[in-house]
Amino acid sequence: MLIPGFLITLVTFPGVIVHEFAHALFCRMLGLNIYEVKYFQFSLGRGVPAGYVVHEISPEPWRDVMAGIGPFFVNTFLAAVIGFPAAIPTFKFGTPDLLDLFLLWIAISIGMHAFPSTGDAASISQSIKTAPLWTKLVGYPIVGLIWIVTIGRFFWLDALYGIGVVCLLPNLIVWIAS
Amino acid sequence: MVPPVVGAPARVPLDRIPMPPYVIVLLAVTLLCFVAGLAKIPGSMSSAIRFEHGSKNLAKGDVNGVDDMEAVFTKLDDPSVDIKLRMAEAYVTAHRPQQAAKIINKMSGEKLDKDEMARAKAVAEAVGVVTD
Repeated sequence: MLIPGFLITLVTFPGVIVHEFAHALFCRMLGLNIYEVKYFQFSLGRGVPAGYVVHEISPEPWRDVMAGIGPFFVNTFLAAVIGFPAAIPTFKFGTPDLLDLFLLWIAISIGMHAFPSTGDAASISQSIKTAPLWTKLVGYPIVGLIWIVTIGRFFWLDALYGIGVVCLLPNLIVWIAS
Repeated sequence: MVPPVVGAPARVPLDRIPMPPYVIVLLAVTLLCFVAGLAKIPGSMSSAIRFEHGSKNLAKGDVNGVDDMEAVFTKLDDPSVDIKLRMAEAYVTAHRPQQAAKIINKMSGEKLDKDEMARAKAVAEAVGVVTD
């Protein structure tokens, strides 16, 4: 099903804002100077990012790598915690209330935007060019993964990931724990 | 050696990049949802685990498993057809046909798919309820 990207971005805007916030948070934690932050912008144009963080290139490239992949950890964790208690009554028992549905929307939106973007991949590539070997060994596979995920977005991989974290993970935990 | 402080001379203080009000509101809502999620996790997790634990015990031949399922089921407000059928099937397995019949009778008028209809009929036949 072909749904325009701007529509998905609009519907899942909490995820975009949390994604950019996670970049900014990691930059602050890692001591990287932030020059500009756009938490959310709406555009019908192609190739215009829904948000971005411009930060300094660190002389220690691993900091740039961490700042680039920060949203993956923050968004996944938030999506799992927010979505877990809403997924059980909704998908297991079929008894959701309005709060559950609201929590599910927030959680899936956040989970969908966990993956770093191609802009993040480009930023990581740039900073690990002159990095020590061990940083390259870690950094380039991450860049490769980001590109694979970008291709996967055509097949709704980001949505599947968000839904998986929010809907499948709780059922898996319950199945294992019971 | 002490590592150099990254970007220290040109550091822009955090308050020089203020968050727009809509971002503050959204992050506050997200934080509230996070707290609500944390508060709700124990209750929803324990009920789901108890229901599944009872179901697994029942499958292993422990008829007391139905008590765990029942404890959760009675607290649910109009659960899904699948959960109703699982509860009814559990009652049949635990030799409590009256409770199974009660659930099947309450389900009259509900829309069931082919598989659910077959399961409902199997329960009804096991407890002697006439279904349509």
